[in-house]
Amino acid sequence: MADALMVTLTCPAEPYIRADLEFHGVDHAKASFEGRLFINNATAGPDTATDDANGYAGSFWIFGHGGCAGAEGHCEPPQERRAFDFRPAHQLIPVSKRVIVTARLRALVAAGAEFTVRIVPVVRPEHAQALPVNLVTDLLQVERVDLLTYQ
Amino acid sequence: MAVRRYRKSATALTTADVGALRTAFGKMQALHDDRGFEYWAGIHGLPLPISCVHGTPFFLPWHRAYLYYFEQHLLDAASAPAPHPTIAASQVSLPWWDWSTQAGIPAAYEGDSTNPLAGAPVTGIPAAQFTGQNIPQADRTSRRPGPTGAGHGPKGLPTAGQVAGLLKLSDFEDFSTQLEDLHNQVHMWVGGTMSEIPVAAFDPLFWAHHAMIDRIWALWQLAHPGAGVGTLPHEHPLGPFPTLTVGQVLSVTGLGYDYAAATSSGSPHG
Repeated sequence: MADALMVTLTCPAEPYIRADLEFHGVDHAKASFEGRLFINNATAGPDTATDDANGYAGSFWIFGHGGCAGAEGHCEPPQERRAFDFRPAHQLIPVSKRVIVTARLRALVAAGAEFTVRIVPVVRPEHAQALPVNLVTDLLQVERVDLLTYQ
Repeated sequence: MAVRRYRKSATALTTADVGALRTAFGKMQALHDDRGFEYWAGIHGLPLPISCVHGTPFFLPWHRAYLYYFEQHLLDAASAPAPHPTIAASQVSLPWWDWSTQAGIPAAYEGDSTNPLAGAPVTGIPAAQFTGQNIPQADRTSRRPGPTGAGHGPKGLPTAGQVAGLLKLSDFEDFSTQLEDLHNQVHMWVGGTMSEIPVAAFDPLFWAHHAMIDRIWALWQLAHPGAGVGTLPHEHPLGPFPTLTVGQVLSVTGLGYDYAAATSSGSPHG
């Protein structure tokens, strides 16, 4: 099972009418999984209850590509796009995910305070057992996390 | 003007509707050419190339075109002659599964292998495309659904409140991103075949789930007239569906169908 990741962010000042956590560069090449988000909970794991007491802030879901069905290199997105290449983009270019966390952020973090977001990848155990181990190893790859608030 | 098809809730189908739908799916599943179930299920994932579009604003238009083509072949199958009894094609449309009720998989889609809505063979994929590095090969679809009823949080199904919240979003890309995430959650809730992109469309429930996604988009379009599709170019082709572009799938009625929570029809008389 993949390890969780954690990021430190700063909560903006009020007022804001909406707050989003945006995750960039999320890999989706392997098994499908839920990215479960906990605020200020450095030890949260797949079995942590998704309640207020544990800082649960929401989830995103990755519908996975399920591993590579082709030969070597088939599932490696090109580093750059050649001029005059009008084909569709490679299937496995990392995606962005956005979770609306307005109420949870307001409830859990004071304006101006630093806080952590722990991202816990969750694959249902019965599903993970049916898959090759490489599909559930190093599952969570995220390049950057943004907190975006709107007034 | 031609009579439009009404896609109905999977829990509101009559006995005759369910019978017609099962017959049509069964006939598609028995076909192993480019009119058949395995061909159309395979377009989403395996066999290569994987053609589905996820994680971009094309997610909704692409899947609307996909369902449209699939439904046309379902209508063909429904009206095809022997070896199966001929049934009226007009009785068949793709039902939508309103998972937000928390009731779980609709009864019409449950049962054993004699029910072509409960599962399907996973065929037409070359053995070489199961590499040992990807999902394992299976002869038939399977499901491992999560909990039903309220209060299960992310382990359960998306709620009616979450859907209502989506419908309030006014920006297409914002709406599309959030809806796609609920869509992903449902795929994982069903479990088994539905959990992974390469084979998900082989589960007949896939089509009812995506009709629900398409319906939510249609409801959003009704609630936000003129909102359009953000920066998506209308002339963008939706491959591999050669007759449809983004612009051509913006109207469900233009594609000959609609979603109705209830319909009532009568013949005028003097």
